[in-house]
Amino acid sequence: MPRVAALVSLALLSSFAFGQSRRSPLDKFRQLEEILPTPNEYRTASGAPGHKYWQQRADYQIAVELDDVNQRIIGSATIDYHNNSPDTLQYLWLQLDQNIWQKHSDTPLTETAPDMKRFPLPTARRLMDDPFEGGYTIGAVRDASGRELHKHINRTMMRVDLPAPLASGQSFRFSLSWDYKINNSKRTSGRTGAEFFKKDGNWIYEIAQWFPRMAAYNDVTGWQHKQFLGTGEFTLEFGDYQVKITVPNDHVVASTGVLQNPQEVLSPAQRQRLEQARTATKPVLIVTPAEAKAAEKGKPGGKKTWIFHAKNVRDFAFASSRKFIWDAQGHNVGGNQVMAMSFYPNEGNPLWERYSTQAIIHTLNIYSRYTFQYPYPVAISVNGPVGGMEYPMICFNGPRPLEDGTYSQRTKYALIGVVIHEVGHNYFPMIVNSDERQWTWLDEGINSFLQFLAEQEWEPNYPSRRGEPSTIVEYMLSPGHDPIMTNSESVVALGPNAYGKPATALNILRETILGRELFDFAFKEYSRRWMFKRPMPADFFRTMEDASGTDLDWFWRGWFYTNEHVDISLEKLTQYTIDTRNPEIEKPLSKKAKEEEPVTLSAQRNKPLRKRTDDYPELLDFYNKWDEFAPLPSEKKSFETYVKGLEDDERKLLDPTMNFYALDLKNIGGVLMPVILEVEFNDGTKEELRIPAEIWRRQSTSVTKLIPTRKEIRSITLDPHLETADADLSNNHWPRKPVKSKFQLFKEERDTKRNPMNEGKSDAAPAPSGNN
Amino acid sequence: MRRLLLPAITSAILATAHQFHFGHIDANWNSRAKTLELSVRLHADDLEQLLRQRRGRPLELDRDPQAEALACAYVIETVAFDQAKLRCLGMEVTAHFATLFLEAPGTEPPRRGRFRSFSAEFPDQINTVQVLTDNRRNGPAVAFLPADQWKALRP
Ligand SMILES: [Zn+2]
Repeated sequence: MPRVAALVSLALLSSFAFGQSRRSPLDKFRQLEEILPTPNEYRTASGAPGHKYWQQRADYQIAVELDDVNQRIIGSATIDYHNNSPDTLQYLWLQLDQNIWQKHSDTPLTETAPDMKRFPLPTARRLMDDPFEGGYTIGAVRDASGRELHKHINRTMMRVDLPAPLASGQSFRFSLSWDYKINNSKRTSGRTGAEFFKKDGNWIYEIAQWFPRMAAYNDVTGWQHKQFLGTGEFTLEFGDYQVKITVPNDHVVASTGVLQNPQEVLSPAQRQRLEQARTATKPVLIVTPAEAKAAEKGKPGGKKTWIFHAKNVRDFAFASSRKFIWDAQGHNVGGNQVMAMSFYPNEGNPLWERYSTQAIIHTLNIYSRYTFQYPYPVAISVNGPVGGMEYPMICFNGPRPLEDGTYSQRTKYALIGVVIHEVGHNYFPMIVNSDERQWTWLDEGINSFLQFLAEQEWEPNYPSRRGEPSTIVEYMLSPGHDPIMTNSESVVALGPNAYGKPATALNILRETILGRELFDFAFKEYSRRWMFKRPMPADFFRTMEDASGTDLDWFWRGWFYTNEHVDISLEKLTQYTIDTRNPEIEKPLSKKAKEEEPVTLSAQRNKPLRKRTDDYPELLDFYNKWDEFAPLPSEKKSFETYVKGLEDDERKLLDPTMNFYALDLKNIGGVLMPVILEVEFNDGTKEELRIPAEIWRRQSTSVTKLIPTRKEIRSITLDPHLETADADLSNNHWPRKPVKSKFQLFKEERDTKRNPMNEGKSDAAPAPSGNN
Repeated sequence: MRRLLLPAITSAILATAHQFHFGHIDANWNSRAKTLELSVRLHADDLEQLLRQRRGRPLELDRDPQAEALACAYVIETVAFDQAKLRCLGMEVTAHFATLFLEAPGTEPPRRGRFRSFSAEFPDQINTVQVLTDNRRNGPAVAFLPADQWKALRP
């Protein structure tokens, strides 16, 4: 260890971090106000809805028929649109998401060329002989008096021209009808679709984005006129829904909302089981596996209409099949009685009966703790063709066991994880109604973060995909990747960008920057403020700062607006001690230092040679005998004078046992992070030093931190708990420590895996020659 | 120029609502052993779905005895470094990631690479290659987008 005695002036002791000369030109702590929208009466500078906050409302009465023979949806609706905005509207826009499957839709048109060497089959099919042609056929749009209104379809949107301007505070009622062909998800996958089971000839339908839905109109975008291209999901207005769903009379329907006519569509036994489920402590079967199996073989004898009502939802979806098993369990979520239910075919068991409803209830418990009490009466998970997609009160989840009923560990965690994730979406964005067509991360990132919290309370060491900082490092190192603040349809590598990176960022904000208490308070405040309202990214950033009392602009800037990564390096450690000026202390120290200097090779070899002074000792004089490290009387005298001139408290500082370590730190990655150090001393003790990111405020690329201590430092580890997403662990140690690569670890593990059996054999008897 | 298309060699993967679409290779030049050591990290869900569709029947990455061989073959088909003859040592599967380990003898660190896993299937796939020498990074990683074929790995 270098030991440098230096003159430390007393005044310097109070300054612990010095910047070095090179400065990066940009202040990474400068405020975001030049980027964020100017606060106004609709959205405040503190991130809350303003005193004039408004949002539109749309109530729907829908009648829909599911054609199980031709896989079609035939619907009609009456919509009451309430103009709560301060503006007068001349026209209304509706979303026609099914139109991405029209023949000349922008979605295939704007697709770029596939890999011409490995041409995907569905691409070939679509481009050549057998494309799926879906999309809406829209009938006449009429006002309340039956007068036809002019409409214009612009790709995935439709404009309805109002007969008279709709003033602020007024409502407008109109009705329309439509039909479309449902996509067969095996050939054309999406967030909705039908799945055919060859062996019994039945379908499972997961029906979503299935009716003309009022486009959002708000204070930030006006009409949300980003066309649907397939990735940016949606944002809609809240409203009440009354939906009549007509299906073959042997189907079981799962839907957003509460069933209004159980006596018409359920058998007495099913109604009685449902009643029993309300107070049950584990899932109760409403339709048993055997009953579902029997239904698969039957034929419908007619139709049935299921009626559902849903209050204050931003959308409506349902699923229908004669293959469904149905289980249910009532659960009290902080005072709200909720029915948790799962619908799945026999093909989903034994995985679904064990995990789905349990995972729903677990999600409601954990998410409600971090946000608000779940406000809806039901929460449903359905197994069908869609891998994972969320709608209010209902979600679609894909994982299933193999045909023999066994499943891998990965499949198990895939199911639990996706149910937590999709049920969790009830909170974000179904209730906190962020705009997914603009910002995927604002619901997916927050939801992935909460999913991580919920998973970690499912079982010890649950293998979460996202949340832990180490999971995002490789992505953050990829050159030219998109900042999180990128539009949904433009993002490349949506998974790590809009799910993984924000989930990790929030986890770091909670664990490392703010601490759990401040973070949880602020996060809950964001959820509460924007429940049943429509926040924008700025509202999130501002609320988190406002409620935690912490300026986080540097954090949002680094993690959400740039594509830099985290890599802090421990460059150098230099030890300083106080120059006490006391010759009795300093001289022996100098002597020791001298003795510790290396002896050159020649000096070592020359040492045993006989010297002339050995034979002629008279050649030795004063200078040969003088001990240069013995304190001189004049030195002692001048020290005494020096000490006499000091104040009492100054005298105390001439402490020879005090060490000052200057630790040079370099910020290689660019993203600012706190500096977390584990310092190990020569006596074996350890101390943790947590330095806030503000250490970088004057100089964001390199700083020196002074560590005063009475002990001697043996080693230092940066980010010892892997909490900052530091991308290069090889520069996190002083002195440097080799870090094993994954490749090395794999080879070592493979070798040790191979060995024990051989060793076991050779213990018992010598291995036969020629083998292994 | 006319080239032949080979449809149906691979079939597109379902677009799920929650996509991954990111791959990474640590390509380490072991100067003592004169060996290129690769650890190729792919999202297990993406890989499982692809192998399932290629084989035409169900497959579980972490249980199926053929999974490793199929995954190795796929990686060797879509990953290349200079003229290196890659040998697959095996695969490690966790709940979310599949890491394949490959090596090849050589005479120097790789100059050019190609990393096209999932490039045909996902228009938003990003793959990155980090070249290292004796486990120290040689420079920044190199990114491969779906349109990219061979790229220089050294400036
Ligand atoms: Zn999601």
